[in-house]
Amino acid sequence: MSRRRLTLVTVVLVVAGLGVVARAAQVMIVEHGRYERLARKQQRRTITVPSLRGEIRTADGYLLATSASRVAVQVDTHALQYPKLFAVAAAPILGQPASRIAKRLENGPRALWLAQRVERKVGEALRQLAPGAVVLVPDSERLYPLHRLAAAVVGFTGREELRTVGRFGLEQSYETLLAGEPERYLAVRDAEQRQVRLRRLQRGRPGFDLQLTLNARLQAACEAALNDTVASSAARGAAAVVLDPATGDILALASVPSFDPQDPAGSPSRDWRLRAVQDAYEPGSTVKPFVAAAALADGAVRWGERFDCTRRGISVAGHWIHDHADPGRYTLDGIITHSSNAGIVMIAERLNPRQLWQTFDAFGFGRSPRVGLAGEASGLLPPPSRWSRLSPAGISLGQELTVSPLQLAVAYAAIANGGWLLQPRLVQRATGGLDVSNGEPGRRARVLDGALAERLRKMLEHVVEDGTGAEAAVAGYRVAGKTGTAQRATDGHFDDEHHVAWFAGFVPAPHPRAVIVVAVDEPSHDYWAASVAAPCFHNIAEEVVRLLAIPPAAPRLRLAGGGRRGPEAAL
Amino acid sequence: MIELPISRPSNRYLVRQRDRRWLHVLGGTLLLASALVAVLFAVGWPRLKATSIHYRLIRLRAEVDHLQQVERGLALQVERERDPARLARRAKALGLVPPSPGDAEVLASRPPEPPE
Repeated sequence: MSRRRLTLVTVVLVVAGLGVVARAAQVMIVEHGRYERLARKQQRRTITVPSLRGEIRTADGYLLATSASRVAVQVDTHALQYPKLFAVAAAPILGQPASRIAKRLENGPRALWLAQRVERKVGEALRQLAPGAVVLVPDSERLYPLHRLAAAVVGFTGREELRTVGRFGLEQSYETLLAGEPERYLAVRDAEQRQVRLRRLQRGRPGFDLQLTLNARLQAACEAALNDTVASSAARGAAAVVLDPATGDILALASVPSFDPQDPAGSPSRDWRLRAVQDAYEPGSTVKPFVAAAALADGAVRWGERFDCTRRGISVAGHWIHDHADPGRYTLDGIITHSSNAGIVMIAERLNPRQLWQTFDAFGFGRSPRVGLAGEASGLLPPPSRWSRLSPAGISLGQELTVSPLQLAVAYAAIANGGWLLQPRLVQRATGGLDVSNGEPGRRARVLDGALAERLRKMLEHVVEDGTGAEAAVAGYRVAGKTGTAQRATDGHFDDEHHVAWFAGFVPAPHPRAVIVVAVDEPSHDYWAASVAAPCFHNIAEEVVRLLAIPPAAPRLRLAGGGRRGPEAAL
Repeated sequence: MIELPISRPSNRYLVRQRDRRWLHVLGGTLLLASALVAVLFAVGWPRLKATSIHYRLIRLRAEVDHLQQVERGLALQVERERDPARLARRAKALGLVPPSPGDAEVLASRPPEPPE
């Protein structure tokens, strides 16, 4: 009996032992990987500490965006012994109500971010309250010292945990360069989640700094001039571009209304747009010089030929197009000077549609200028295959196409610099000598013959001296430019309520240093470019000659009888 | 009178002996101790200095961090102060006006005098 019992007990023990051994083998051999993963997950954690984001400066050294070291305060709510007491003590340090902090501590996760982007002394003060439960983690804050200046160009950032991420403007477009490489640490914790080891896995690298081509003082002057114009004309918005016609460098890129990049949510999202680059409008009469260029290049207009513009309009494909120029028989120069709609339509109808399209295409219309910003407007330049019988007239009047102010500035720069279409440049360089160009800076393609460009320059000078652009004149300087008052297409048709007032030109003639384009969107009181956009151009041009230290030019001699000498006869 | 020898305590049989070995041992011990102290000093002093320097470095690093923060804060303040838009507003409030382009005077560069 006892022997049988002994045998039974032995068998049971052996079976149990085998079971234990089998289970141990299962855990240690078969499911080894799974348990190892679980243990790693529980014990090891990779901590990513973002590096300081790069700075953004203007060409003249003004700081548009920078980052400052801060700390984030994390609280282990399980390790916090007296949360209510802690909340009361932390309230004055954080400037928050104690009840709110207590509620967060009560309902929040175990690792609660109590505060982020706070100064170290604030973090230290909080850690003093509960050294065992409060952890300070390196953090940074994005700062915009010049507030609204060039806000739409610079953009703004957002947050993903402790990471600062570009959300708009250059902050978004150059995220890879600005963000740098984060530092990574491996934190090993024990069973009670106490950190027992910290090892650096990856050394961080601060973000690269960007230097823009913008001139901060010119940018401020442009924004002030646009703000005045928007206020006086009760416009929906306005944009301005100042471009160096020799290099393609963008000296100012203004857009109003603007926003504070430190608090973008404080402004409606439509104000975040950089209208000068991201919006495209009907260019109106500012494109007439390009039609003239096509006609002169094609030989469609004879020297001294006059066009009958006495009927205050012209009929095209059953539509009557009004002409606001004084009735008269104008030469091509006169048509541009007085912005005669009838005259330019007559010229456009002499041209092959394909040729007209090719001229506009050559000046960069319908293509993105590629300055490195997200959402750059390409504008609309429909191919001739989609044109109606009215289209040549519509295109020549700047109504059946749309362009961004920057595109128009690049096109006018080609007239200003003797015929070269340039690649505009906004970002000059990044630290570390990185190539940040979005294309080859400088000259890109010759689109105009030098003599033809000079002829167009003279035409545009006449516009300011004798034509619709008189308000753009700057005392002591020869200014060239063209007005443009366009109807905006709304709900598929043009009406008399939505307009864009343009002025595009350059200063000083005959050797321009700056191309300036102003676009005023939907001015309410007076929508004519001559009285809305041209004065704004004048204000900006005055600042341009002052800030770029451009010496005044000798005025051209005016002969008795209204005749004019060429620049070769200039004093 | 015959002087009888009187037996008195005397040390004339005790010969002064110098334990020369003891001196050697003492000398050796002192030498060894000195060497040990010297070695300890040679090793310990730099370590002590290193530790002291290390602590000083920690303090200085903290001070550098602090000063860098201050410098960054001041640089930021300078940037804020020289905001062109802000300066323009202040200038306007003070009644300053920019010179108009017509006010500018161009000073023509004077050609060099011909050598006499």
